[in-house]
Amino acid sequence: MKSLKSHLSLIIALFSILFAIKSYLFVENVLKYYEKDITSQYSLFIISQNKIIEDEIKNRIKTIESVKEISTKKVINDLKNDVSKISLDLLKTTMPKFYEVKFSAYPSTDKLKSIKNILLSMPGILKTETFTNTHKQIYTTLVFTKSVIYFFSFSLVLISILLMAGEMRLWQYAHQERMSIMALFGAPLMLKSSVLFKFAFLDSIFSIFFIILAFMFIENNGLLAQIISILNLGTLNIDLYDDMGTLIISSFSISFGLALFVMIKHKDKEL
Amino acid sequence: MDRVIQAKNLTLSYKNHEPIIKNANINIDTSEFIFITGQSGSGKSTFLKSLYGEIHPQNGELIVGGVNMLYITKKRLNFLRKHLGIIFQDYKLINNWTIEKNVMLPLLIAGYDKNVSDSQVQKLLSHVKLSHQVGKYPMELSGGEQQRVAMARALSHNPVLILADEPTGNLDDYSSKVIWDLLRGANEQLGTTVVVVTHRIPESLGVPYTHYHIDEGTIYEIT
Repeated sequence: MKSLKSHLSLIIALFSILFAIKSYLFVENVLKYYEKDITSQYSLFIISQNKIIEDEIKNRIKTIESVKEISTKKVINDLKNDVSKISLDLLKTTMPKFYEVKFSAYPSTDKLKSIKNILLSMPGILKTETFTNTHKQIYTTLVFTKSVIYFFSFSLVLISILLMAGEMRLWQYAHQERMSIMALFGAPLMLKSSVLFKFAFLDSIFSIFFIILAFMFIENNGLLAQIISILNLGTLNIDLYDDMGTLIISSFSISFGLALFVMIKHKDKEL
Repeated sequence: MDRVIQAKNLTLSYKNHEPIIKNANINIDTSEFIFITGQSGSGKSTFLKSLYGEIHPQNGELIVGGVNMLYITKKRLNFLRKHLGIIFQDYKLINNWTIEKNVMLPLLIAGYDKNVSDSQVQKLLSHVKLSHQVGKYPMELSGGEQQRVAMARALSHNPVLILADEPTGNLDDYSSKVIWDLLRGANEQLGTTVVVVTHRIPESLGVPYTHYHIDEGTIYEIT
């Protein structure tokens, strides 16, 4: 019973850590998706006297993905009936060129400011235009969400590790006597500690099993679909089992790491 | 006869304390049966502990099974202990292991085959009259029965040297008799060297023995 309780405490702590890691990875994925989505929708406009060479701009600002000229044909067509041909021709030759710039990564407010400065220092560029307020709002929300999620994931992992460390200390006391007796009969370190590693292995397996059960519950209960719909992630391909490799490695690394800690901390009376 | 234990000017003490054993000289050969007596606190158990490396000699020379205990490494100590059968006054059984697994411990450490170990354990449990207690845990047994389990464990791997610290100290007559019979049997039939630290030497052991006494840190032979 005592042993079962000790196992359960460790399994629950490991499960919490794995869940925290999965939550972190999930949120990271969602944020990346959002960032990509916002980036694809976000653009900066350039008004330039000269024709802009895309490669030249890209060389100076690495985060620029594309520079597309905006056609002025529609505006000129709209004016056809109201303005004389001579004026229209004059307008055609004197009218500046408009460009739409897309980014490969969503720029921070500071980065955007420096991009604008670089652009304005280039010959011919008269003005750059962004929707500063909207950008700032979206960017702040994104950064805030990231920070909150990272903080909670970190806290959860920290609390779980503290729980596990406490549990390991109990293990240490529980195994100290057995390890000392085994030492008196000449058992090498690995044999004395084999039970610890067996426990660590079993508890890892159980925590992985429980995390899979939790994923199945989330999936089959429509919870995942609900999350996808709330977060408007329709086009994001979410597979809860995507990070299983990371979770398995994390689980074994943590439990074996702690077993190793107990093993190293154990001191035989001799010598 | 081969020498199993050789102590020359041996001094033993716990860290930063006065020596408990001073300049001890003692030689024990194969197949000898040795009793070491002395008052409580005289250093009997300390001397025994030095023989299995739980206490490091402070000065002098102590050779056990050809191994110099003054310069022993952890690896050599493990090797030596694999060939010893130790019986402790407080039994030192692993409480969350069944008695069979406890008896099997030295065999597990020595890497014996499971089938060989199983049959050896059954045989020994029958020798110590505990066959009916198979499957039980040490805490479910009486003190005498626990010491008999410890005795079976000490004999399981046919050690060359048995070290027993007050093996019958708190035991009833029946358990004491079983223990002495087994120690005598191991010595007589297998030629195992036996060193017993005790308050009281049994009246009819049935084998010749050498008696050492410890008094005020000095070990001397009683003839």
